[in-house]
Amino acid sequence: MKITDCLNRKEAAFRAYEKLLESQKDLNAVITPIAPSGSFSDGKLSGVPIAVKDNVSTKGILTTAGSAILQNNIPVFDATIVERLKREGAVIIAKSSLDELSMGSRNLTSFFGEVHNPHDLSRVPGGSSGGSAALVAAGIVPAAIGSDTGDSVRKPASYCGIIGVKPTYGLISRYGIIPYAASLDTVGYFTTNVKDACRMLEVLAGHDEKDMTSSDHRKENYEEELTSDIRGKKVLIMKDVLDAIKDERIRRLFDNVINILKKRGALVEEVCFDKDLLCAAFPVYYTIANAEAVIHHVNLTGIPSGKKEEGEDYEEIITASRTKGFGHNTKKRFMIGAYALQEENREKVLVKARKIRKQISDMVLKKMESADVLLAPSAPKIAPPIKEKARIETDEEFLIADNHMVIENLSGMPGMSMPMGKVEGMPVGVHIAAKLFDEKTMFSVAKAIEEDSVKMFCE
Amino acid sequence: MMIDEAMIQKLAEYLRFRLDEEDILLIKEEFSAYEEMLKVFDRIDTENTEEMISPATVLREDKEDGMAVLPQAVKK
Repeated sequence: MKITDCLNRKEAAFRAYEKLLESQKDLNAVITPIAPSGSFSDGKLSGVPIAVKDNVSTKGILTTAGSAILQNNIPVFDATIVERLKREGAVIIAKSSLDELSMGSRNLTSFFGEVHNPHDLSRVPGGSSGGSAALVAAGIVPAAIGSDTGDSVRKPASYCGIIGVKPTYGLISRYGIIPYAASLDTVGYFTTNVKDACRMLEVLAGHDEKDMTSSDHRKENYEEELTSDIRGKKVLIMKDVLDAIKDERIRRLFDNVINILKKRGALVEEVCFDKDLLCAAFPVYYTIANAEAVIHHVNLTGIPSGKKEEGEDYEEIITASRTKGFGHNTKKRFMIGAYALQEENREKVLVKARKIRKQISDMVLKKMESADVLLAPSAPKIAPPIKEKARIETDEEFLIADNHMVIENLSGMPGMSMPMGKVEGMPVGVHIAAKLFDEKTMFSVAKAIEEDSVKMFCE
Repeated sequence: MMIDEAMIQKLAEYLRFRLDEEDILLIKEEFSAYEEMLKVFDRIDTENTEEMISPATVLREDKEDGMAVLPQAVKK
């Protein structure tokens, strides 16, 4: 489904809302459905039904971040991006499910239950923005909002066969987003085609005084200036990622993409990065994200906006509320964060991670000085079965091929995943990263791939 | 393993939650994998590297915005 299929059609949001309710028993992608009122503003998204991840504050509407500890949280204000969506006429019809507090890669840890992949209900949609991804992939909404701390938009996009965009850090305001890790969190979104991805960024991007990390980068006309002319563009291929992928079928699909780019006149070159730094990217992300999460969520006591437990005193009430309010996975990640923050570990774990982050960021940005985009398969595998246990691995397929997209979170660079084909009937994605604030080139390369792809199954 | 059960309980106490047996099992597994992953840190020389705190090149200065200051908030 495209944005233009719904634009200025009053019935579109009602129809989407009905489909959304019907889909719930299969997908479980929605935490709070929002019935449309029938009125909307004139703008770039007039009447277009949109889903918003449930870590985005919506005035007067339950916002849980997928956690029991926020199960009664009703914000008194709209996040800046919600204001912008409404101003352009979008009709928000759902608060979509997510891994608890955005901590997850499969969407199995929400207090409200696991989310299913519309391509195969026995498989995960990816996380943490899996609810939004599932709703777009199922053709219920043409666009949906997610957030990306360590590939949490791009991985679900790959698993669900749609487009997932993580813009440059600071380009979209995060005011009103319940954080996972402030130095990594980026608002992202899903669409089914590149043109819609351009339109969404035009709506969402822009400076916001309320977000101290908001950039003052000028507004751009991504949609109007979208071109698929990529002659002379320099494309770097992440050879280390390809080498770490065991599935030949995914490598072959990626080769098809490279052939498209070469035929269109792009200059394609393989690039190798320092292997230790590549292998360090995921542990660096994991250390920093969880340490920041501990700090952000000390205020989650369950008292103002959750399910307060009983206790003899304030301390006991907080401990009981947090014990019941957080799931196993969330507690596990908080423990990693607390460990990294401990005085005796701080220097050798957290400070070291921040220094390695700097080296990784410098390494990639330096290579990008003489290139336009950086390409690799988004993931080494199709969406895993729901029953498969998620765990940290220490081999290169996990550290490099499965988690290379955290590099864009560490460096702030923009990245997007788009479909490049199917394996065993399940979608797989190609990842395109670009220079800071050069979303325009990223979209151009994506448009070229989209036009020449044999089968764009996301439409 | 770099973390024993006493340390796990201590961290949980700092974090203001209690752990059940399933939590402890998961946390032990997690730390074991985490420790293995962190070995790569030892191979990277960061002697003259500065910490990267945020990708933002410019951060807005904090300023008072007319919201109630603490004594007023407490009074309310």
